[in-house]
Amino acid sequence: MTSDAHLTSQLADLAALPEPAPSAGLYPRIEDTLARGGDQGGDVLARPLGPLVDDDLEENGLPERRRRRAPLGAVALLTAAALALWVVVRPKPVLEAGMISGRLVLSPAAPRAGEQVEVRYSAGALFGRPERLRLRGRVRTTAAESYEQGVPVITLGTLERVDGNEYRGRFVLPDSFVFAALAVEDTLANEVDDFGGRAWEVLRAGPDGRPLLDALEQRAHDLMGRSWEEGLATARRLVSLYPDSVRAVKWLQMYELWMGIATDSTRAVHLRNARRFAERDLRRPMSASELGEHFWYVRTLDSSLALPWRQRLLGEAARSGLAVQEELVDVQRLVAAGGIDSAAAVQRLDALWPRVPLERAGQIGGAALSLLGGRTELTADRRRWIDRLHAADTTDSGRRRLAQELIDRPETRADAMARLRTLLTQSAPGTSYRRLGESRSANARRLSEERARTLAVIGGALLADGAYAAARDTLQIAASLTWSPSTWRRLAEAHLAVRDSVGAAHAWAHVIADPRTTAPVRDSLKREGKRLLGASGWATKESAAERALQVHLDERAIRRLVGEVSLATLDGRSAAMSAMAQGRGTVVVFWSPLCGPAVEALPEIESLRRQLAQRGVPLVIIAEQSTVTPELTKAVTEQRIQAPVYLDVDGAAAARFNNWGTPTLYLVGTDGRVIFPGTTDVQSALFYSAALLQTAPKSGQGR
Amino acid sequence: MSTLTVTPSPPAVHDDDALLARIRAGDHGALGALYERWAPRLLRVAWRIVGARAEAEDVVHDVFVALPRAAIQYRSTGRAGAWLVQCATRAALMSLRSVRRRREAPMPPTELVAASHADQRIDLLDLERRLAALPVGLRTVVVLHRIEGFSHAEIADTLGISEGNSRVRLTRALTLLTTPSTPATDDL
Repeated sequence: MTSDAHLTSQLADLAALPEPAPSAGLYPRIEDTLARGGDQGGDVLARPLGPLVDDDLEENGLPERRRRRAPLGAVALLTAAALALWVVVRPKPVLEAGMISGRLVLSPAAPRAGEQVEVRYSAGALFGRPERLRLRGRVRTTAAESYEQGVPVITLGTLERVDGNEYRGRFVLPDSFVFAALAVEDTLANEVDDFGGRAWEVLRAGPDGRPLLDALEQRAHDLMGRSWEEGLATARRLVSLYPDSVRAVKWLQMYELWMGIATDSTRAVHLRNARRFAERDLRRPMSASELGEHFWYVRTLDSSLALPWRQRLLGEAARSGLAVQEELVDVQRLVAAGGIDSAAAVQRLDALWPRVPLERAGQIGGAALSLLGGRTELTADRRRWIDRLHAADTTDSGRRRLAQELIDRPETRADAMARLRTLLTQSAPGTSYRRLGESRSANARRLSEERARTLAVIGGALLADGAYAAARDTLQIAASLTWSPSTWRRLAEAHLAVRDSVGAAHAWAHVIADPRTTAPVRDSLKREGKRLLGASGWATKESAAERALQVHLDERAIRRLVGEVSLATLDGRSAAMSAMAQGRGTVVVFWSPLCGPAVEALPEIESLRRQLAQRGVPLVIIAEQSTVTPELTKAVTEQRIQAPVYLDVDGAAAARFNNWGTPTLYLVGTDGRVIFPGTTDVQSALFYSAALLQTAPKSGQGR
Repeated sequence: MSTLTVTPSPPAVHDDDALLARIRAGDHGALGALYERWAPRLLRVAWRIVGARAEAEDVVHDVFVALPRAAIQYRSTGRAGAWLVQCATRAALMSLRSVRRRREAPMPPTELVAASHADQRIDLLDLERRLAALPVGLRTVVVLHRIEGFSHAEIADTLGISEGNSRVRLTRALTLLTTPSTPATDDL
């Protein structure tokens, strides 16, 4: 054993060692950051407004000190005052790297039924230190479905400021809820901190303190479409805590399939489980949902093992969702094999319909419409299924889609418009629910864009009906609510129909301003515009449209500083992100070879790279891993990726971008600022990058 | 218009306060001089806390980039160096916090020991390894107290904990360091 004296002497030896020399490039990097105006991070050096090492206090069972000492008040005041001043004088919202999200600690994070949860929140720079903040939660019962649609968001409590940026509060999760995703917002909901989209989480625990199976399952539902990696991690946790539950292993099986990581060995494990479950449960009475879980777990593993489960499911629980889904698969299989034609298939679905539970209505109705073919002809069959779906699907997007099925035909157009007008009144701001993580303005913008889409469809229908003036007015409102070249085109048509050529040219100028408009269309509209208005009149319209696009972009811009990010190339060299920008900005794609959607998006990303290259904007891929793995090499070679791929060593880049999930695309300006919030939509990334370049000040004009 | 001329002659120790005052006034030349004097020490502290040279250099970068603004908060005490070490410690801990969800176990800063005498190198490497294996809340206290020579009062001020807590942490850390079962994070 090392003695205390020896240790003391060794530590003294460590202290006496020469100090390391910083790399030669470090000081130039500092100068470079300062030259680019990056000296915004003074707060990182401020004295802590709480312990900086409290995680480890708990980890080591040491007493925690929560009270701040008096002298810190001055610093907190200074910081708050500086922040307030900055908020007042800033020309547009600018948030700095690493300061956006606060830190929220829940105690306990897995409360038992009725147990109070204490909340400690250290606010980031988002809020400006108001006296109180609000804690909201997307709360899930055991019956909640995947994704956030229909899952309620409620206020769980208030957080009161105790000191500086420290807030405290408490809440009790109502007993019916097993999981909640949390976000903090100011009381006007102008700003929301949802931890960069991750949200903080509460999972209901059982008497033994472990998260309930239902709670973990709801977490997996909540993560659906948000993070595949976290979903997989949840499934693994389910299996480690509940290895004897078919629900748990089924989640893991699904994630392995979705993420393309199923192998012979994972299949063998599931087969062993399936045999064990059959022996244990096959002759036991069980609920419809349990039967469904058992059957769908074993369904693709072994047909002879699956058969008795199938017989029980269809015999004992024919009205359950999973039984109905199995019958649909049967019908589709028969059609694919040529056993029956689509008319016979629809008849079978007609017969199935009375047994279809509400949550499967969309799936069965969608399959029926798809079997009935395109919408050139509105048959009685088609009309019947549309009506069924309309009754079952109460979502705005679902009902809008159905109305569009009817709107193209003169005899049903009035009906479709009536349905759409109902949507307009239901989607009125203030009556629609605000999602977790959505600020009041973001909510208003989303609702207004939904209204614009609905109005555009109505306007199109009015145009088709010959109600030109009404069409023009409706489309004019739709165009003012969002940026949509297709709406501007329809508006131009409506203007021409009422012989308003100036109005039409005004609308065309907006179509031309959109970077997605192709060159031939642009040229022909430009010619027509000049013919109608003359060169100078047309030039005025063009610059007005450019300004409108600029306003649209500015409203959505965040301009958050990321600063310098160090990456590693696949052959182990270090690389700085600033070196990648070639004068106009860079599109950065966070990506992972273990994420199904990210791998699937590679061809689209490669196509985006080519389109951006023509505009002089480089695209780089950052793989969210520290080392080169066979999966990474395989994906890059198989998809012939030409975009440079870098490694995010220790997650430093993801931390700087506050990124969560893949694929996520960012547009980074030459000043090291992320210009728009990250998006998973490749086309939207193209629009924003191209539009931004188009509306950027020309060289020589300055900024 | 007058031009600010900067002549970065090597400053004496007591000049650190003056350099900070000049940085406050927007003189980046003074920043260079302060960097020359203190960057190696800040790098050493940050390296032992964050466990990787690249990340430690990021910390030093962040400290110096933030200095023009942070210098406003510095009250002239003649201990500018200690204040800078405090800043670097906070920045290092903040950096760890932001990447914690992905971070692997910290690597011992073996390069630091390379300059030691061959006889003691193996022992010191082993100590660095055990130090790196400590929880960060304990490691930071050992680094600040035993290697950087900070008092418990200064550590308490830096980390936002009480002096008593700092003492408890140090005792616990030293106990762990002298216990042979301290798990290694990595082979050297």
